[in-house]
Amino acid sequence: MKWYRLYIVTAWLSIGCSQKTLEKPQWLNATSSITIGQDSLYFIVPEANWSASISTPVQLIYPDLVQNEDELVVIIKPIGGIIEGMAFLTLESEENQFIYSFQLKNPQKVTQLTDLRTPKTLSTDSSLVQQQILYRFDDVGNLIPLAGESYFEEKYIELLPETGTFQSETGTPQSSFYVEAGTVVDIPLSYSLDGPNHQIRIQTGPLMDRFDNKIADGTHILFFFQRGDQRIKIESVTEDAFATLTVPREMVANSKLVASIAQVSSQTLNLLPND
Amino acid sequence: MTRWIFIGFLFLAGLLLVSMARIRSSHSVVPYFLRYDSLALNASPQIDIQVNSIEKPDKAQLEKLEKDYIAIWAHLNYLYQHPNPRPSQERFTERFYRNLAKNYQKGEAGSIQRKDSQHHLFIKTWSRDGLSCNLLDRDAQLTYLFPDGSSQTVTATVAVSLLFQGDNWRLDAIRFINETPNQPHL
Repeated sequence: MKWYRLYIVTAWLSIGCSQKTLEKPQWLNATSSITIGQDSLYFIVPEANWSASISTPVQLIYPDLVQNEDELVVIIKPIGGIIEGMAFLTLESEENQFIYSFQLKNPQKVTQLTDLRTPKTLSTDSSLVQQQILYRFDDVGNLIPLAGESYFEEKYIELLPETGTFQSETGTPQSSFYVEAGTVVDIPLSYSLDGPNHQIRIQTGPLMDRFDNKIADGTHILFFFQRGDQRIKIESVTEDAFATLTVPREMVANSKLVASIAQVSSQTLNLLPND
Repeated sequence: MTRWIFIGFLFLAGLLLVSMARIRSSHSVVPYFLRYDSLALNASPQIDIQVNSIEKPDKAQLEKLEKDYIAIWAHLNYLYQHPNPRPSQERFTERFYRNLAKNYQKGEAGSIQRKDSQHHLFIKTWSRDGLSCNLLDRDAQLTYLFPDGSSQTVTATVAVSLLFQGDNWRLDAIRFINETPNQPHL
C-alpha cells in the first residue's frame, strides 16, 4: 500500500514539473496596424489550449479566439472602441506567453467638438470678452487634431451687448452661455388713480440698460414715500422691464415718491398734490 | 416559560441589529476625505510643468494639477493590467468612464505592466474659471515590463484634456501621439 502511494506522488510530481515549452506561434498576416472590428489576426499554433489578452493604451481587453487544429484566429470584437495607440497581444498557453505588438485603431468614428466658454454668464456692465477653448474627440475619448497637428485652440471673442441665451459652435445645450442686462440707466415713474377702490397704482418702466436691453426680471426695486417726517419704504421686483405697485390712496396722498434700483434713483414724483 | 420568551426576544433583537448593520455597510459610500487612493499614493514619477497658456494657473492650482496628474497615470497603469475600471472611477469624466465600463469583461490580470517615470507637461490652455486644462505631455518615459523579465522603455508624446470635476482633475480625452522605443526590444 505504501509503495502504491509513493508511485502516485512520484507520477503527479513528474507530470507537474514537466512543463511543455511551446514554439512561438507564427503570425500569418503580421502587420503593424490593426483596426478593431475589421481585422482578425491569424496564427499557426502548436496544439494546446490558448487564451489571449490585449493591452491597449488604456485598458486590458480580451479578444475572441477561434481555434481550428493548428490555426488560431484572434478576433477583436467590435466593442465600444478603444484609446488608440501601441498595443500588445499576449497569447498564452499554460506557462507559455508570447507577445506581439502593433498599433491598434478604431474604425471611423463620429467626432465631437467641445467648445468651452468662460465665463458662462456675462453682463453688459462688464467686459463682453469671452474665452473660448476648442478641442475635438471621438466618442471613445481619443483627441482628434483640429487643424494640422494642433489638438487645442484658444480664442477670445467679443460678444455683442445683446441679452439672451446663446449656444456655442457645438450647438449643444451644455455649451450655452448667457448675456445679462446691465444696470438700469433711467427709472421713469408715473402713477394713476384706481377710483372705485381708492387706490393709487404706481408704475416704473420701461427699465433698460445702456444698450437698450430690458433689465433682468426679478431686479430688486425700492419705493420711498416721504410725507412730512413720515417715510415709508416698499420693496418690489421688476417683471418684463416694469415694476408696478398698488397702495391705498390715504396712505401715500401728498407724498413725495422716489424709486431706486441699486445706486440709480428716479426723479421725485409728487403724488396727488391737490388733495 | 418567561425566561424562554425573554431569550427569544433578545435573539430577535440581535438578529435585527445584525441585519441592519449589514444593510448599512452594503449601502454606505465612504466620503471623499476618508477615501484612501493607494495607487495614487504609491506613484512617484518626476513631473515638470511649463505654462504656455494665455491664462496662467497659480502655484496652488499647479500643485493640485501635478498631484492629480500623477494619480491619473497611476490609474491608467493599473487599468493597463486590470480591466475593471471601477476603482478608477474618480479619475475619469463620466463620458470617458462610460466607455471603459462598456468594454469591461471579467478576466485574468494581464501579464504586461506599464510604469511611468517622467512627465514633461506643457499647459496649452487653461480656462479662466480653472475648470479645464489641456496639455501636451512631451518626452514622457513609459516602461513596459514583459512576463519574460525583459522591459522596454519608450519616449511618448501624449495630448491630454482634463476637466476639474468634483474634487479633482479627471481625464476627459487623450491621444497617444507617438511612442518611440529608447532601445529596440530584444
